[in-house]
Amino acid sequence: MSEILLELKDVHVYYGSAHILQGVSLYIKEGEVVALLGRNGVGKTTTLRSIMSLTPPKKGSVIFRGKDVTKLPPHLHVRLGLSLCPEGRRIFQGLTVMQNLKVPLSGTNRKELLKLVFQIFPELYERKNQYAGSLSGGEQQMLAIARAIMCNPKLLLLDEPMEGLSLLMVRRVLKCLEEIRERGIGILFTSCTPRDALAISERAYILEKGKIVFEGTKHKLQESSEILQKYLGVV
Amino acid sequence: MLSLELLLIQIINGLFIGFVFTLVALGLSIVMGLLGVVNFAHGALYMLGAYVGYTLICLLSQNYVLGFISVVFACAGAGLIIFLAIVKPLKSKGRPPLDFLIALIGVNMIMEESIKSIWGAEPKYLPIPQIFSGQIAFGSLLLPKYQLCIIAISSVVLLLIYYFFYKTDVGIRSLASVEDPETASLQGVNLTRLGLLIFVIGAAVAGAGGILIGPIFSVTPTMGIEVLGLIFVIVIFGGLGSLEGTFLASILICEIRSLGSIFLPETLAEMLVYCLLLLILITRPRGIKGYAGILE
Repeated sequence: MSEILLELKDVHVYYGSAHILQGVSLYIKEGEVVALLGRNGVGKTTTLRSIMSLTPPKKGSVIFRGKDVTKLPPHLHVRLGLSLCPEGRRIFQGLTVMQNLKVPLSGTNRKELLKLVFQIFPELYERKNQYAGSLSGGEQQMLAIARAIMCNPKLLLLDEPMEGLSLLMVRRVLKCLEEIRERGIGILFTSCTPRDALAISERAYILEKGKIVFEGTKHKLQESSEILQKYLGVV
Repeated sequence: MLSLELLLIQIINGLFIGFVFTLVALGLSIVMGLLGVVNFAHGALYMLGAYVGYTLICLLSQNYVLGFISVVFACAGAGLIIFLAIVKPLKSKGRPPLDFLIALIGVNMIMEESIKSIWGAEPKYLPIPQIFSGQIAFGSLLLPKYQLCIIAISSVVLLLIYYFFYKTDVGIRSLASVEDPETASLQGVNLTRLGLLIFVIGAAVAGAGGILIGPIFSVTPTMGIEVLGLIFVIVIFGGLGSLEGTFLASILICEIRSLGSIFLPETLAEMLVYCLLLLILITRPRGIKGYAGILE
């Protein structure tokens, strides 16, 4: 049985006096793909940000590969094998595609990682000398995921990776995520739309007003039409 | 009547000052973009470069090459001390930008007063190296050798800086961090360590600017603070953290001052620069090549 890679224990996060995450607990096993679902503004992005210490929890802990990383600065999370692809892509627009891929501290196996990302995203190889700001939305999303892979992660956190993409590009991104999973990299990703998310995930959590209100396999969720309707608005 | 010779000399003057001010402004621009810190002591580092150069060249060795290299290391050392003693502690405590500003104004004052007590308040004169004194003839046109030499030396330094930022991993990470520090930290970039490196490079290059300009202007304890206003204009005009923007802004502003002084009284030419700053702040606050989000 695979080991637990990441575990959140009773995480509470505040923005000023607003209590955003109210005791979130979840776990992801090695090589597992888990979806974190919920409507806009329920705390999905904050959950990922708190894992990376960008919005550090006031209470609770984040354990990664058996180590408490709650208070570690973001750049040290990366060295342990956690990588976040943030919402809105946030690629470095003033740099070329290749330069974007050189920003992460990849360690000694940069060449292999570069080979891997160009295998998964051949479009990026064709545009490696192009400025990232001039790429299409879908290509920018690919670059953002590719850049996260260049961090050589054990667990990839993706914040709304399908947001704002055409149906064609959503399928392309889903295919890429499949390929990443096949290479043994765990994925935790957020989404507002369960249909796309459940296509590749094994388990799912649903967040509502900063609390986990559902946890289970994708089959369990697919069969729970009441939950889908109540928390995600799926009829 | 305006002669071609006067016009060309003023263009060369604008160009060489523009190159030197690019060196001084670059460090300030990148540090502001990367750390969000307004380094008010940056002018003092430029002044320190001129004084250390004066001491080494006029009082000790007479060797300009050794003087230049020593100045670069001395100012890098001063930058290192300022970063470790002031910037890093304030940054780790999450202090607001005003605290940095006040602390660095304090550093500027301490450096100015220290220089007055060591070298005195009267101006010092750093001679032009013998080999570069006099003029060089282009047909009937006589151009000052030293100014052309400054342009050449500054170009080499700028090319090295360009290579560092665009061709090395650390440089690329610096540019990424200027554009989006949070996302850069998500790629494993240690912003404090990178900030230290950039701060030290910025200090070294500002010092190099100080020793290069020393033989043209007199070396005084207020030369740093006098130039700082114009350096801020260049940084804002070019865009925080932009190498190309800083270079273009520096050349443009120095040419406006230089050529403007032919047609206008000097104070009016100076005013023209500040009017231009006002215009860019209204129409494009990020500057000509800066990133949106820093000032917009």
